[in-house]
Amino acid sequence: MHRPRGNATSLSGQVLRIEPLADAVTEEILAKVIFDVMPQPLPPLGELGEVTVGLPGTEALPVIPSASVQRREGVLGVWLIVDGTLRYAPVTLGASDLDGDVQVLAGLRQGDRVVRYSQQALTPRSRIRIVERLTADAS
Amino acid sequence: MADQRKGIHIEGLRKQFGTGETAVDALKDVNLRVVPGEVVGLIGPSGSGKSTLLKCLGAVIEPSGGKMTLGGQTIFENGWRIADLRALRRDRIGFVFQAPHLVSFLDVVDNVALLPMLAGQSNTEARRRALELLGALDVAHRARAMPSQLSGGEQQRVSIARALINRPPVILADEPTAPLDSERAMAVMRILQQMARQYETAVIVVTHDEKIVPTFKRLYRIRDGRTEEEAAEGRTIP
Amino acid sequence: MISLAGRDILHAWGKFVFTGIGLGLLIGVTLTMAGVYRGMVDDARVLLDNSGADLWVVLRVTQGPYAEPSSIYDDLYRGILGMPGVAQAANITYLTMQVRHSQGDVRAMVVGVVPGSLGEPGQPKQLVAGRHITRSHYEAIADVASGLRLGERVQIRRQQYRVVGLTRRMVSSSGDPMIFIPLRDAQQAQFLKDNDAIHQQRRRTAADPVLVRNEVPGLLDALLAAQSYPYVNAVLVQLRPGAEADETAAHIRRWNRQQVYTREQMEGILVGKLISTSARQIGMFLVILAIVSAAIVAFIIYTLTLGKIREIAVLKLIGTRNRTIAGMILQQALGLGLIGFLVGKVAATFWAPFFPKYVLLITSDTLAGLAIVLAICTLASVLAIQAALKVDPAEAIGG
Repeated sequence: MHRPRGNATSLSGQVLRIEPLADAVTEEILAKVIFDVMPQPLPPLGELGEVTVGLPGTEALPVIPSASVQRREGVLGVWLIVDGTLRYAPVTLGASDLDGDVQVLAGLRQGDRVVRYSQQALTPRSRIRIVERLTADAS
Repeated sequence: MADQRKGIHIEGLRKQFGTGETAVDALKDVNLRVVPGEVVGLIGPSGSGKSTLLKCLGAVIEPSGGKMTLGGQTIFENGWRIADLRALRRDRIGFVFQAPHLVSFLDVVDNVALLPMLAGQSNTEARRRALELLGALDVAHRARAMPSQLSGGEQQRVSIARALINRPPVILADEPTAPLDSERAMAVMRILQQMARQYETAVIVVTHDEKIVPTFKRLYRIRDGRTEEEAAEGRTIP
Repeated sequence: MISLAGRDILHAWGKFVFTGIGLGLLIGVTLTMAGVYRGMVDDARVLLDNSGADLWVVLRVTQGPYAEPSSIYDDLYRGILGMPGVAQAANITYLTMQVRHSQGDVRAMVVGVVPGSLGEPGQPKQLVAGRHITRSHYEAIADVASGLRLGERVQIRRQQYRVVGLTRRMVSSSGDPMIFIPLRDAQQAQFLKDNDAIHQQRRRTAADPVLVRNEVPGLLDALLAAQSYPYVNAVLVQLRPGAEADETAAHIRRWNRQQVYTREQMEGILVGKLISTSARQIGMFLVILAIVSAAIVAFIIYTLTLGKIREIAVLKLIGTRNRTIAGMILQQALGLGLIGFLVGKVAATFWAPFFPKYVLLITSDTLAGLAIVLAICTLASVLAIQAALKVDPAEAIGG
């Protein structure tokens, strides 16, 4: 977890206990988290913190950027570039992480070319021109 | 010998403007003839009716009575005998004005070739004939110039070429020498006489310029709407 | 055959081009105004397209969420999810406001979406850079029209957000760029006031003797906690493939007792009500511009013809047809119109991207504009043609 307000400190901790009571409205379960090492000085009572819980690793699976994922006619999928034309490929997705990548459980093969960014909504008949980046910021 | 029936023949022409109390008799009794190849003068003071006569001859106003024959064709006998007066003016009458009145946005050769081109004749053929005429008038070297670049005398010669392009049997010249000095005036008269002979055209020159009177072999004096023939010196200009 | 109009234009080409440029700028303004209208309609269409929704569920008596404010409880979406024909239903909030970033203020439409759910209605569909929002707080996706860059921080109400993704042409119906933030943060931004106001509200509650009772410990805390903000502006619904929009909407209206609008109805609201006044304004302006253009062409062609009246008299005398002369004048008017139209189209294409709002120049408008310009020029030449035909060839013979 790290403290807000511009302070870049990250502190490590553990989940102590998960409460047995669930909240019907917010669909949330409360969990209590403790610091591994008590920070000095102690943060004030009532201060907000952002907690990221590390989950056990999963098997290695192909990932795609979540920006590629579209929903078309109710089906989640991505746009593939096949022989210079567009094809919509439905996918089954797994877990996603905080950096915007998401696991692909089914629907794609190694080596498939997936559209990441596009200037307009795509259709199978759209004319496309593939470029390195769409804006100066694109990574 | 030129055919006496061609050329200009006017008998008993009358023209009245207005009706009733305010009626004006511009022409009362005009009799006139010009043979092909002749250059005849029509002389009179202002108000004598010479402009009106010219307008009748040029088929732009309708006479009130009499008979007009141009180039062997009766065009008026107590009423127009020709349906399309515009075509008549285009094909059978050449006009030379006091000022050259060339079209400012066409070059010299196109000014001369304009009428045949508009009538649908081949542009190349029309321009060729135009150049020929310009050559005869000694102004072919200015063929590509715009009218504004020519001197007064050159413009006048171009307008004469324009008048001749359709080989009309008749040329009407309205004060062609008025703005010119004697040398240039004589030059214009010489050209007119030369063209008249060469193309067998009947030329009538309306003028009040005394300088050129001696060049006519025959002339008509018009006064108060009536004409009188006069034999004259008829000096040929060298 | 010779083209008198062509030769006259060539001879006086400076005059024609100069006049054509002046006329062209006027035509360019006209084309641009039409483009502004088209842009407004397109903004509305794009807004509806980008939402990815087939149905909009809003507060009963309103025409929201774009035309009017609408507030509904944020747990209503669950009931809607259960209705037949509904594939997805997602909460969404919209708030048009000024947001602050390093270069100053920008007016934006702040959209609150549920983070992490891919392909839900309301989420931006395609990005041009970065990634979708993954954390539940303080991340944002901004449209490039806002001027924000990846990694920049933007201040919305009480919080700062980091831009993690960029979109293109995600705008409100008035052309304001959209900024997407997590729903909880957006609810706060819309319904929760600033720190001072919160402080005041708590003080007033705490100062009320009826509410602060020693016999009921924890009452004040519970009350203060209850001053929360469980509202959203709309629920966006995606239909199952094969489901009927009107039928599903009718179900939701009846059983969830909210107002529901289909895509068609939303378009009618946006185009018919939101932009109709502006549209009428632009329409009037176009009519005035057309009249002014006609008057200018008529005046210029008439003046040009009068300047040639001597030549026209001579031409008529030596035997030129009236038809030919009228044709020359008409061709000049059309030529002027064509030059003007070309200049206008080029000018409009050139300056359209610099307008603050979207200007959409479409081909059919251009063709219609060309036809109208040519028609106007033909009409405008009538006056000049009349003058030319009235000329008496006898006038060429002086005195």
